[in-house]
This record gives sequence, structure tokens and C-alpha cells, in this order.
Amino acid sequence: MSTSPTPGGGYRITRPYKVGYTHIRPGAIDTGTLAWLLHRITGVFLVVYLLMHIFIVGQGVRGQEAFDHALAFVQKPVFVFLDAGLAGVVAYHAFNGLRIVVFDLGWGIRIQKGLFWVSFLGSVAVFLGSLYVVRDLLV
Amino acid sequence: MRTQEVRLLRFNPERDAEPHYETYAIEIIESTTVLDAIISIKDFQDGTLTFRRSCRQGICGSCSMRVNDKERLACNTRVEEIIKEGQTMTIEPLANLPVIKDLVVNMQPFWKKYKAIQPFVIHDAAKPKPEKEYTVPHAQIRHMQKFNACIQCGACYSSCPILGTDDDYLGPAALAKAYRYAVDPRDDATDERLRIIGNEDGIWRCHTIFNCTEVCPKGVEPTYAIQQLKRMSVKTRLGGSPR
Repeated sequence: MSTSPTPGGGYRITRPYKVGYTHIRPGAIDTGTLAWLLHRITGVFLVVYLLMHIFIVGQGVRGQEAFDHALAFVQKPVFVFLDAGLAGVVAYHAFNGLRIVVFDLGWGIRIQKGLFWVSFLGSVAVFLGSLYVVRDLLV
Repeated sequence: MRTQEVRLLRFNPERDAEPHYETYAIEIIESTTVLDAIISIKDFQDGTLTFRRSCRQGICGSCSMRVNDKERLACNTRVEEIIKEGQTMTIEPLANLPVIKDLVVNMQPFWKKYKAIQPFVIHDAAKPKPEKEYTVPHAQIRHMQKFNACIQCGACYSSCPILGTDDDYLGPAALAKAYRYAVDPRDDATDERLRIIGNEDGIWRCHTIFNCTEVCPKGVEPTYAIQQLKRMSVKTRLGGSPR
């Protein structure tokens, strides 16, 4: 904040300051904030993923060879692992999205913490389940 | 009795260009509250420390501040309750509001928004007046009391991440108060109030983060109120009755 002397000899506040980064500090993140942050992060992730997905599938327009090349690239074990992670991310965004829809209908507002853990642990379960399904492709 | 390290965000507009932290060491006992701690710093270590306080018993709502990143009333929070031995206690002014000096913030935006929702009972003059008093069923008054308990301390306003990015958002306190009047059977202005708050800077800006409900020292649930107002708003837009 900068100050400038006024003719009366006092001081005038010219630029108010606010305490920054207050809501994303560890001490300030409660269950609801965590749910909201994860929802935002998974949402951005899904948009980026969708673009990459369209790019990979779109290699088809460049001919069969280019398409096969692109598919061979994304069939590496690391991408199989990331696919399982993607399932978990989609599951969290979907489950928490339902949690928010339920709030908008006026239900479950007082058990929001429990609902968050249901959606979070549910998405972890989806991630682990997906890993189990693709376990042969991981090596 | 133990020694407690207190880290305070200090800012003097006459001297400082930017706020800075200063650390003090004080002796505390089991019953020492956060307010006791900063009063002792002001009395014995630095008389220029500025903060608001009045009743010291959680009624006036003057002494809300951020203690270790969470909004609390300094007067009814014991230091030992929230700070482990050896941990530093960090005290900052409320967020989302401009700081005037040290822990004193300018509450003007908060009050403006509070006023905007018309926080008073509005009678329809065309309606017949009751012969004696206006009566409210017991269950309804109990429900209203929960949202009427607000002491306007600004803790919810400071804890809201949405208000950190949108200065025009009405905020949890004002919207919870709007709900208190929306469920009051004596009030006839629900439609008008829903028009004031039923827009992108009102109820629809809320992302159900629940920080306001979490930090409220009086147990008001602004998120619950806002969600109910969203329902009322949709119902009236569809041509139904809000209640």
C-alpha cells in the first residue's frame, strides 16, 4: 500500500492491500475447499485430456500409417497407467458433480463432508479397479 | 504457563509500503485467549498494534481475524485449544477486505452488500393487518433464529474463495440474512429480494465450498441458506410460490 501526505499533514490510503493466497494455504483448506479445488483441477485436466485425445484420434486423417504410429505410441505401459488415472479423474469429477447437483436440489447439505469422502474414495476405487483390469498391459 | 510465539501481520499506512510479519513471545496460561494474547502484546511490547475488540464474549463480532489461516473470533478462541506447544501462532487481518492498519480491515464492502439485500421485514401495505400481533409458528421462529444469530463479524466473508476473485459477489453473510427474511412469514418482499440476489453476483456465484459454514462462530449455515435460496429462485422463475 502506498500513502501520500495530504495538505492537512495526515495520510491518505491510495492503494488498499489484501492478504494474498489466503484460501489455498494448507491451514485454510477444509473438506469443502478440497472438494472444490479437486473439482476444478480435474475439470481443467479433462479439457486438456480431451484436446490431446482428439489430436491422437485425429491422426486418422493423415492416413493409416500415421494413425497406427500414434496408437502404438499411446499403448506404452506408462499410458496404460495414465488411462487408469484418467478413469479415476473422470470418476471424481462425475461423483463430485453429482454431490453438487444433490446440494442444488437442497439435499445432503449438512452431510457434505461424508459425501465428499464417498466421491473421493469411490474415485480411488475406480482408479484401483481400472489398474486391476489393465494389469497385464502395465509391463 | 508456557511461552508462545506469535507472528503478527503488521501494516502501518503511514510508514510501510507493504505489510510484513513481526514475531513476539508471550507467556500464556490455559485460559489465555487469542484476544488476551494480542492485548498483552499491545500493553507490554508494542503499543502501536491496532485491532478491533469490544465485548470479549463473542457477541459483538469485532475481533474476528485469521488465526493460523482460519477465521475465528479472537475473544472466544483459547490459544491452547488450537496451537500445540512449540507451534507459532500466526494472526492476520480478515481476507477479501482492504486493510486499514494492522488487524483492522475496512468493512465497507461487507456492509454495502448487507444493506443491498434489504435486511428488514417488509410488509405489503395492501395486505390486511392482523387484529393483534403478527404470529409466527414456533418451529419457524426456531429455524429463523439459526440464521438470525449472525453477529456480522465478517468471518464467512473472509473465508470465501469466491469473494477472493469476485469483489461484486454478495457474500455468505448477506445471502444468509436474505434467507432469514425469505422464510419469515411476516415478510412480503421475498420476490423482490430474490430479484436482487438471483443473479450471477448473488446466489448463483456460490460454488458450495462450505468455508463460511465451517468458520462461522455462531453456527449460521450460509451455504445451506444459499442453496435453499437457489431452490426458491428456481421455483419463482417457474411460476411457483417460493416457500
